[in-house]
Amino acid sequence: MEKVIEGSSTAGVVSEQEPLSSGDIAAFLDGRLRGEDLARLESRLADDPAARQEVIKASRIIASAPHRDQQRRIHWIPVAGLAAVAALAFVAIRPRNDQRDSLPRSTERQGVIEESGSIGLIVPVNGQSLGEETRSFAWHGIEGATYRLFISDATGRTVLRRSTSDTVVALPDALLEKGAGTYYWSVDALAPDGSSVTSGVREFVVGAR
Amino acid sequence: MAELPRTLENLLRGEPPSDEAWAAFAREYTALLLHVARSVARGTDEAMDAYAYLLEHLSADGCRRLRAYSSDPRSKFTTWLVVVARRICIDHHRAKYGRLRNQESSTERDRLVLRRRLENLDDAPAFADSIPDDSATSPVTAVENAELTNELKALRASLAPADRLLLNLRFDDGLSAAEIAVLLRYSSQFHVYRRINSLLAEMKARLNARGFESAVS
Repeated sequence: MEKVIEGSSTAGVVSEQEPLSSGDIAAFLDGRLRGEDLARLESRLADDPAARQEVIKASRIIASAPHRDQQRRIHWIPVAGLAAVAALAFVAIRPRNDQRDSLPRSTERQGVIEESGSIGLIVPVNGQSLGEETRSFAWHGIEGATYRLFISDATGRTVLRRSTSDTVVALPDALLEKGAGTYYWSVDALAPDGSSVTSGVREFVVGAR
Repeated sequence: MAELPRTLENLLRGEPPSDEAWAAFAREYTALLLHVARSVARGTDEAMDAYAYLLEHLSADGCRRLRAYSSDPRSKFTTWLVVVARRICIDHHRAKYGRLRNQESSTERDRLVLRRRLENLDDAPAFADSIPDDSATSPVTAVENAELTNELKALRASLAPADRLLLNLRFDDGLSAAEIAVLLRYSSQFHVYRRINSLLAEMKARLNARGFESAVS
C-alpha cells in the first residue's frame, strides 16, 4: 500500500512542470496514445520523475484493483468512516447487503480488471515460418470488436501495429522488408462496451526472400 | 474515443444530476473508489475519510469533475477515474496534513540524523586516518569516472523517448520487467529484457568507440 507519509508518492516529489492531464495519463495507461502524442508523453515521463511516479502509482492501483467478485465481499465500513459517509448529502450511496447480489455488471470494471480473457490466435502457429503457404495472421473474433495487431522483433521493439475490424491481416510487405528473423505477434481486441482482451504472444519466423 | 458508461451517461444527462442517478453511479464505482482511497491513505479511518471526500468532490458543482471525462474520453472511464480519484485523495491528504517532502518523513529524518552523527564523529580512534582506504579513488580515476558519467548521460539523452523511459523505469525507478511490460505495452517481460540488453549493448559499443573500453568491460 502506498504511504504518502513516507514520501513515496508524488506528494513527496515536487515537479517543477505543469502536471500532466488526467486524460493524458489515463490514455497512456490504456495504450491509446499514438504517434506524436505518445512520443511527447514518453519524453515528458522520461524527463520528469514526479510525473513518472504518478503514472506508476496509478498503474499499480489499477493492477491491484479487486475483481468484481471480491468487490461484493467488501463488508468493512468502520463506525468512524460510516459516520463520515453519513454526514454527506449522498448518504444512500453505499449498497445495502441485499443489493449487492443484484449489482449491475459493470462493463467498465471488466475493462480495467478483467482482462484475463484471451483471443484465440489461429495462424501462424507458434514458431511457424511465414512463406508461400501462410501469408496472413488470423484469430478468432469477438462480436463487434475492433482489433490491434502488434508485431515485435527479437529485441522487443514493436515493428508493426495494425488496427482493423477484420480478424485476418495479410502479411505486410513492410515486415518482409525488415528482413529475415524471428518475430512475435499478439492481438488486442477492443469490445464495443469499452472492455478489452488480449491474446498471448506467439513467435513466428520470416525467412530470407 | 471510448463510449460513456451507461451510469455516467445517465448521471450527466441531468442538470443538475438526480440523486437516483448519483446513487447508481456511486453504487457502480464504490469498490473502485474505496480501493483508490485505501491505496493512498494510512489506516481504515483515513481511508474512509478520503473516500467521503472523494464522493463529495466528484458530486460537487453538478459533477463538474466527472463531466471533464465526457469531453475527452480517450481512455476507459475506470482508468481515468483511478487517476482523478488518486489526485483528489492526494490533494485531500495535503490539505489535511500538509505537503510532505522526503526530508520530512520520519525515516528520512532518522537517516539524516544518523548521517550527521557519523559525519561529526569526533571520538573516533586517532589512527583511523592512517588506515589505507582501498575503495578510495585516485584523482585520475575520479576524472575518468566523471567523464564516463557525462558520456553515459549524453548517450541516454540521445536515445528515443520510449527507450529513455524504458531505462528510467528499470534503473531509476526500479520497476520489474513484468511491470514495465504492462506499462509500456511490450508483449512480455522477455521483450523488455531483450530491448534493455540491446540498448545497453548499443551504448557500450558507442562508449567503446569513444575510448571507454576498459571502463565498460
